[in-house]
Amino acid sequence: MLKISNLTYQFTSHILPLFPHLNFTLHKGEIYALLGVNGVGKTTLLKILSGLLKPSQGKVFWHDQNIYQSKKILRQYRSQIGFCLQDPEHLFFKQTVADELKYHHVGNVAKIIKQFKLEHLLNYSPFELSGGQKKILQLAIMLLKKPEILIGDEITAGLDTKGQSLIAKNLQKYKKDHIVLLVNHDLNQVIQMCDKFLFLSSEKFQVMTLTDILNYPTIFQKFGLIPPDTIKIGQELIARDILLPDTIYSNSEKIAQIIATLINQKKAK
Amino acid sequence: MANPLLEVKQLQYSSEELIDLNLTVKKKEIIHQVSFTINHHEFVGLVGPNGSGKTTLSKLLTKIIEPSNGHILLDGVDYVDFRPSWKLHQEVSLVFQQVSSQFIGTDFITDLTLSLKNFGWSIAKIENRIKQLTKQLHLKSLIKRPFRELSGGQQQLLAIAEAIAVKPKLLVLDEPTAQLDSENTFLVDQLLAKIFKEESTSILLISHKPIELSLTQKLLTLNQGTLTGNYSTNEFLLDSNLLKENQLIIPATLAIRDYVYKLTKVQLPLVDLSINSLIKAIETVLC
Amino acid sequence: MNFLAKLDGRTKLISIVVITLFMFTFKNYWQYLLITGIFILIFFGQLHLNQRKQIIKHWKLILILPSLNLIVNSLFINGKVIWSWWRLHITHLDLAIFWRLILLLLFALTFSTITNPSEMALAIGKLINSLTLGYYQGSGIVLVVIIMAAFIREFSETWQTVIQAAKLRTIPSKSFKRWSDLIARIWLLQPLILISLKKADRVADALIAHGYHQDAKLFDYRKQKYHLNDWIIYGSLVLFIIINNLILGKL
Repeated sequence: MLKISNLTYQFTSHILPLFPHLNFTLHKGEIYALLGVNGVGKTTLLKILSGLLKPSQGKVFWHDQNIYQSKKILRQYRSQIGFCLQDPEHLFFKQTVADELKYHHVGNVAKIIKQFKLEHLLNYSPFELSGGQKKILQLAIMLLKKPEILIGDEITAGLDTKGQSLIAKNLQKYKKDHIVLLVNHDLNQVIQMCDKFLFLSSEKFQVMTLTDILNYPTIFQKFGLIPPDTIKIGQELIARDILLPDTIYSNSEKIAQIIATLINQKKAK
Repeated sequence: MANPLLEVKQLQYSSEELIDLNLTVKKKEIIHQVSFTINHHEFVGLVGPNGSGKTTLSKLLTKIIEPSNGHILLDGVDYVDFRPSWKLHQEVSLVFQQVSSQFIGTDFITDLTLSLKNFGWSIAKIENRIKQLTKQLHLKSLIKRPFRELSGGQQQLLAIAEAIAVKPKLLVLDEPTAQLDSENTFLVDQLLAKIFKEESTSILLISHKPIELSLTQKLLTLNQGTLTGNYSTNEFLLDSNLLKENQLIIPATLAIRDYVYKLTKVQLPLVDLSINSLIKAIETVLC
Repeated sequence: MNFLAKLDGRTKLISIVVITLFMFTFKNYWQYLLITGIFILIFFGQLHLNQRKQIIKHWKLILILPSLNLIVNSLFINGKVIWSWWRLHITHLDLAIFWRLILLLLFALTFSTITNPSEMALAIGKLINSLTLGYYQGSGIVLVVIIMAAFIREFSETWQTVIQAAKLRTIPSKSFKRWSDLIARIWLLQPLILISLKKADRVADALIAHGYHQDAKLFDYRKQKYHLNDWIIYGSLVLFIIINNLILGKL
């Protein structure tokens, strides 16, 4: 359990803190999405939670211990964090993909290679991989740390559909015993992949479940975001009495199924 | 119109890239025998998987790099006849994917002033153009603020404004919204639509966002350095198989249409990718 | 607050250079005290809180570099020894150098916080334009300085991220092998250099796309004129040097 208490961050050159004082707790078994417009400090918050940046105010508790209490505790804490950077190139300092995977690994390298289909890339330099392959390699490296908390900054951006579903599948498996926290611009993906949603703006902070969002879809506009397409479609269809107001339509399949039923009913008539 | 604006003939390119500190070099992107044309005032999209050579092609079209073989003609004049090179950059401009590395000045006015002076514009002419441009594109609130204080999207709007300041015949955009969130992407796309409506320039937009590509009139597909197709935009974007082949994400509207078809064998008559179009289609089928 | 901000880039640049050279002629502590006093006045009277914070942020650099220098210097005896312990001997010259270095670093940091890269670049361009009696009209030098300054910032940002990534990848229980850790650190240069090269490439591409070329007359050097504040600064510099030399001459 990762508990965040009264936390905020302020750049030395700014007059106001980036976001309001935050209080929330992250639990195992859930994928959390951090949502907010550009520049609201999502990456900064991720860095604070992974032990890379000391907050200006407030505390982060991991197993009831303040992670910024001492350097030793901080180092220990960092070893339990898997952090996927927005630009993976920053962490590649070995000559081949195989060496990268072996560096300070804890988990089973062979298993991860198979899981992420990296077999044919092992002898390449990490710098020759495509953008998507780099992202996948980074996630594999981080998972080999067997981290308690996995944090990802845009881990599926720029990936093709295959790569995206590969990552989504592995995250679903991983979340069972761990905390996963993601920042992702593509809200259509976020809605499908994540369980809890942390909405952040410079004045407000709100934690919501998928049900909360579907009951209160204007939350996106409230935080300056454009709602994902499926939510918009659901709303429009409810407004036209095609879909029932109290049902949850989280993805395209569910919406399509109901429309299919309606079409079949009409055919039967 | 008889002559196309841009004619690309049998273009070829290969390059090398440094991959580690042992100075190991690997062949990078390659363009093979690419030929196509862009007409006057035409909005063309270019799609293709990562590493297919899209960025290389955009640099060839803006004469940042020179092809190993083949020719590019602008209004019938070969690129090699634009000498010195900067003469071409008044005719063809480029907007990059990496937002911040395209500016030298600290804010829009300084940066654009510097850039236009390259082309020998007088201060009066530059000031006039800036006034006109910011009014036309509604950018007044952004032009005096330092780039560092602006969001990626706002910076990209200014980069596009700079690119059309020279009144180019062709504007090339290399995944201008790839690094932006949907809110900022929306702003950029709105601006592109406005520019195409009001200016006579042709636009080549490289992108892998289907909604953004629906701004275009025709689409070229590039795979492993070779042009693999030339489609009308609507035909392409409403075909899930084509989208999948080119590794584009299937938009929710299309996914719903396909799933409904799978379950009922009834095809929802979409005219485009918009949500409105889906809602109308559902209403027609159900009523 | 505004006096410093209104100064011409050239004035700031020349003042820094003159003061730096001038300090090498100092022979008495009161001269250093005077300069330190002036610096304190500037620091608290002319800088914003944030600018002060930015300078103080580098306190490690400001203290460590001169201290290292002091230790090395104290191994040698250069002048009258005022304090000694084991093999270390502190002389007046050692102290003067120590103080001078601190002041130099403080002035350099202050200069970089009150001057933005393009202002500095333009100042250099104008100086060269004046020195060549208006013959130099080009923009190459100015552009190179602007790009270099921007690049240093990019470079340090990249380095920070690389270090952070390395921290996350190192597992502490295994880090007892300090030596191999040190070697691993050297390899961190790989991402730094490769990423920086890419960034440099992109900047170069953008420059070409914007039509930048050697002979373009980008900057109107004639338009850059001095204001009253600048003359005040130049006047006080000259006055300062004259008084200093007069007093020194008498002593």
